[in-house]
Amino acid sequence: MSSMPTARPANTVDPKLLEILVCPVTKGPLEYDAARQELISRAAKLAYPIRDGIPIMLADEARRLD
Amino acid sequence: MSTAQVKQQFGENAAFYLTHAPHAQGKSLERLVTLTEPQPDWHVLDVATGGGHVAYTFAPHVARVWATDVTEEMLAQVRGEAAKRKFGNIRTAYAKAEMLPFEDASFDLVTCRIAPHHFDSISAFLAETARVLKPDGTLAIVDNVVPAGSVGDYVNAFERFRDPSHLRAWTVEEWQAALAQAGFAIAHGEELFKRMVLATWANRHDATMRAFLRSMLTEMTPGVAEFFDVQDAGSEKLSFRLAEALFVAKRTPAA
Repeated sequence: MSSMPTARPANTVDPKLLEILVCPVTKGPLEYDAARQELISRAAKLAYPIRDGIPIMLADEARRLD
Repeated sequence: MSTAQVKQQFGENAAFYLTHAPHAQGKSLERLVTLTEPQPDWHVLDVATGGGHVAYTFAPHVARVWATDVTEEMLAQVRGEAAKRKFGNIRTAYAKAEMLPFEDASFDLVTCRIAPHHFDSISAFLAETARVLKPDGTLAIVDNVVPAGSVGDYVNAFERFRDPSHLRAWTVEEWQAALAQAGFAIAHGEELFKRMVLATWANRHDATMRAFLRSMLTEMTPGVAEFFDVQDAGSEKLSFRLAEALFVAKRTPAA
C-alpha cells in the first residue's frame, strides 16, 4: 500500500499512481507532462487533463495535439 | 450455464430500504466482500463509483482500488474521503464505463454497483471489463432488474420519469445472456426486492410530478401491480417494490 506523498502540491498527481492508465481510445501508452498536468496519447494526438489530481480520461475533454 | 438464483425478500426491518440509503448500506456491501473473497494482493476497479462506497469497502482488503466515474464532483469527493479515511490505495479517474483507460489484464476484480442502468451500452461495458480483467478475474455486478416484456417496459418508464439518467434496467435473462456473450461464467446470482417509499423516492420532484408518479402506481395492469406490490396506497406512506440482481461472474480464460 502506498501512502499519500506530502512533498507535492495537493492539486497534482504522483506519476506512479498512473502506471496502468492507457489512452481510452487507442489503449496505447501515455506520457506524463508534469508541468501542464496532462497525459499525452501520441497515437490519438490527445492530451488528457489532470484536474485536482484526477485524470480526465475522456476524448471529449482532451486537448487536441497537432 | 448453471445459475443459482435465490429470491430473497427483505424482512420487516429492511422494509424502508430508501433510495439513497441503500447505496451506503453495509449489508449489501459486505455481501459483495463475502462473495468475492478479496485477497491482499488484488487490484480492484470500481466502475461508476458514485459516492465511493464499494471502493471504501474493498480498500482495507486489497492492494489497490481504482474508482472511476463520469462526475468530476463525485470523484473529488471520493478522493477527499479516501484521504480522510487514510486509504492511500484508492485512486480515481474520470472514465466512461464503455471506454476504460486501463491496460489489458490489469485487475483481479471489477465491481459495479447500481449503475449499469445508466450506461449507454452495458454490452460495451462488459467487453471492456473482460479486457481489463486478468484471465481468471472476477466481475461483481449489482443493478436494478425488471421483469421481461411490457411489465419491464412500464417499470423502466416509471424509473425514467423520476430520473432521466435512468436509461434501461435489464432483465435477469438479458444479464445472463450478455455475461455469457462477453466471456463470463456466472458463479453466483441472486435477486432481491427492495421497498421504496414514494414520497422519499420522488422527493426531488415538485407536487405535479409526484402526483404523476403516484398515478403510475395506481392505474396498472395486473402484471405491473404484482411487481410493484404497492402498500399503504392513498397515504403518505405509500410504498412499492423494485428488484435488484447481484451477479458474481468469472472471466473464462478463453475470452
